[in-house]
Amino acid sequence: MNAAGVQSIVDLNSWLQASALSRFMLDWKWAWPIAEILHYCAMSFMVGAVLLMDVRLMGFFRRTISLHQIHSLTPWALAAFLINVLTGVAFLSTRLNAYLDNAAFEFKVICLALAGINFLLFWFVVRARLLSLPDDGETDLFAKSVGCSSIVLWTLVLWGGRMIPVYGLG
Amino acid sequence: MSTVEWLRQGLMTSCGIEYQPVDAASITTTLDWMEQSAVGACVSQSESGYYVMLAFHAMGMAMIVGIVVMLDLWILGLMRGIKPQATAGLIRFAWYGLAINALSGLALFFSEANKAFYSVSFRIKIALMLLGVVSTLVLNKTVFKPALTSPQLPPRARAQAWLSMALWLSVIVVGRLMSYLTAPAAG
Repeated sequence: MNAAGVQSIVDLNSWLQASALSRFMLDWKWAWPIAEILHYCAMSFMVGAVLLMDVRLMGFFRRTISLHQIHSLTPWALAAFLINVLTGVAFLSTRLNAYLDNAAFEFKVICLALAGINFLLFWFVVRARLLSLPDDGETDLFAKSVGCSSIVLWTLVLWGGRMIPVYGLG
Repeated sequence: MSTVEWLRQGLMTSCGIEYQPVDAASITTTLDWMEQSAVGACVSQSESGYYVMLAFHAMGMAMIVGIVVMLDLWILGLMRGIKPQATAGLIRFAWYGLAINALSGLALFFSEANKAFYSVSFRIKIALMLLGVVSTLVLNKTVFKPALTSPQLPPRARAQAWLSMALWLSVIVVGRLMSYLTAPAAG
């Protein structure tokens, strides 16, 4: 990264550490556990919604989960994801620089970015194709791949997140 | 060397920890035996064994809690496009999640059996988890199976769905609080 990039991260880090959010997270002893509880509950919620969509995309539950309505689970997943972004920012605000140096966190962010791209493929490419199929139709290989990638990537996001303490952050 | 010792040596070596034969004198309870077993030693002493098990524990947790909560929302009428015939298969998926969660949980228990067994928050968590399992079994019997033949859900179904959600989410709450209420073993 170039010098200007490094400087902007240093600035962002000090700005975050001086923020009210960061002080709240560190000063009130229940802030961290409560944020973690929210992070885990919303994670489970999101995994539930995502799994249901992915297994149908992959061709399971063909006759029992509607292909035309499967995307209606998306708002649930996005709402849970938003909770995790907010609680995630609360964790990061306390020491962004340490997280950016953490190999597991870096891995998690890369997998998150890929999962995001994968979701965009589902939303803008796959979803339109599903509507042209019958409600209990067989999905094509592309849709199956998107469903499968989603499960793999979210599993790796969880893996990366849980491995953060191994590299020195608890 | 006995087969058991050979397996013990193999597991410990592959986890990157030094092989030690069982120290029979220091084992007075089953809990001690668990901690000294190859599984307990590998989880507590290897570099990342504890966190690898925690990662599987979290994945299994997300599967069981996530799917059960989706089924609860289905009862509440918020999951469109899922037929009652899908519920049996989804519950089976949830049980796979519970199996991953329970096996990794058992390995974690072995690694700090004495501490976990005498921890109040751990006992509360296990109790809540068992209540969650019972609530899901009851939901399956009283709501999901009858839904295959009659479209009208029983009047108590909604209350049961809320209870099921509350129980499973409370397992996560207590599980997370455990690391703050009892001193963590590793990090």
